[in-house]
Amino acid sequence: MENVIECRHLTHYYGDRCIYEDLNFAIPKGRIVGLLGKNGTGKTTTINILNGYLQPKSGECRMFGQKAGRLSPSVKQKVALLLEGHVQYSFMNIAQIEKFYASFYPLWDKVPFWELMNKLKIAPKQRISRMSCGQRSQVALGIILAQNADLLILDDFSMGLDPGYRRLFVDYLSEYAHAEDKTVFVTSHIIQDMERLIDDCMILDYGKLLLQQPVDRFLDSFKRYRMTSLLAPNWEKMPVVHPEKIRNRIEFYSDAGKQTIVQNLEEQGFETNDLQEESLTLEEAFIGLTGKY
Amino acid sequence: MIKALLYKEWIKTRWFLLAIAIAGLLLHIYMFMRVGRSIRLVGAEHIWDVIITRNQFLFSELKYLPLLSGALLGLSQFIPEITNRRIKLTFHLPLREKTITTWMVGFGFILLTGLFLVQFAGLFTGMHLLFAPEIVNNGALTVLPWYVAGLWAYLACVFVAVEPTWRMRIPNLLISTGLIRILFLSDFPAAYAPMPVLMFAGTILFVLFLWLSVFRLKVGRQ
Repeated sequence: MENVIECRHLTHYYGDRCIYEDLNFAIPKGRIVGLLGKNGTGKTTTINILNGYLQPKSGECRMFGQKAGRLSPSVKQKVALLLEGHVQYSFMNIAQIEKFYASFYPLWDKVPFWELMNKLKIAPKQRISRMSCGQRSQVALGIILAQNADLLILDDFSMGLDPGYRRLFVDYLSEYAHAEDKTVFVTSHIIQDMERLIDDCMILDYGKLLLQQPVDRFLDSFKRYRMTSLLAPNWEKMPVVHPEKIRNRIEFYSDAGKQTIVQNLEEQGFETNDLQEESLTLEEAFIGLTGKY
Repeated sequence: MIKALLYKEWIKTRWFLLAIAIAGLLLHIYMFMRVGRSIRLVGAEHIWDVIITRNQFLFSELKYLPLLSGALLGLSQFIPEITNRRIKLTFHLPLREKTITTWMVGFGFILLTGLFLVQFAGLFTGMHLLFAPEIVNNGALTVLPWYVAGLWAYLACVFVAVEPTWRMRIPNLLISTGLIRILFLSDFPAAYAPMPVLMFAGTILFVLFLWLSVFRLKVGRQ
């Protein structure tokens, strides 16, 4: 499948602080990919590098085959960008902003924009600066949908939105992206919204990419296990992450499968009768993989 | 696309431009009313004496108007761009960053120059009605550095505002203030007449400075 975004050997530091080293990933055409990570793991840094607002220490990113930071106007026309906090030209009203953007995008389709604005019951002459955060998010969403771009990059779209607006945003975007076969690259730190939206997840931890795979495959294999025991197993010998023992209750996460876990525990002399395997939501799996701290 | 870009600049600056234009008009009306009243009250001979022998310039209220006009226009145009890093949206528009910057700065610079030319023409014409050509020419040379200071102030605002870090904004502000101060060192009429090269070179320097800020913003200096 053709890749819309490719990042190779990306390394970036802020001063002495390593954000990541030798990060490699690709976003195939037509997929909705979520970049998940805790605060400070480099989600916005990645978006900034992709859009050419930041030069990495080493490595490079390409969009539609062109080097980030040197995108031609014709490639920029294919990329719709939502900045963190739904930043838009708040000194304009919605009629002005629609007129402004329409001139830049040959495939501009004003129907979805005005459809969303009508839902909000906003007067065409209302200035964006006088709108609530939720209303501003819908203006920003309306603009990126109307651009009819091939790739949509959304940086922390859920920031500052109440649950209703988050749901509206996700449902509208998901329906649009699937119906129009668009590629979406999205970051958020509210994982529960992402589960309804994304096909693939990329999970960043401090300094590295932990995984990139389809969400359903990840949730099919990555499980939480619970058991009771007075002693803790030797975790070094087991394919588990973030094991925790509180009194006699043991909890850990693994993608190795129940059979392997049982075999490992029995080899160490543990009873496995009460071992429970639990399926997880994306948010629980994210916490399981990256840890609570 | 360029038309749309200029439309955005117009929306940001139109009320500020109107305010600058009205302030300039009112100040010119006030200055000519005051000079006319002085001529009527103390006589043209006395005013002539003040100008010729005491080297006084009668329109010195104008001194800081271009400076404030340039700074206000620059801030009104670029503060909205740097607030919430909105300039990222602007640089994401499907045009080359150089093209975007040139048109944005060109918009402000040309409008400001146009406004200054209208004010300058008003002053020049008004003075012609009251004074001899030598005095008018001397007056024009006196106000020229003030108008150049207005253009420098505009470019300095872009230079400081677009710079991505506060650590560099402060030295940028100090350098700009120092350079603009050069144009206000002497109140002597036509003191800067022999220095058009300095004024031109300073303008070029500010243009280079603002490109440095654009470059630093583009590569994500933090």
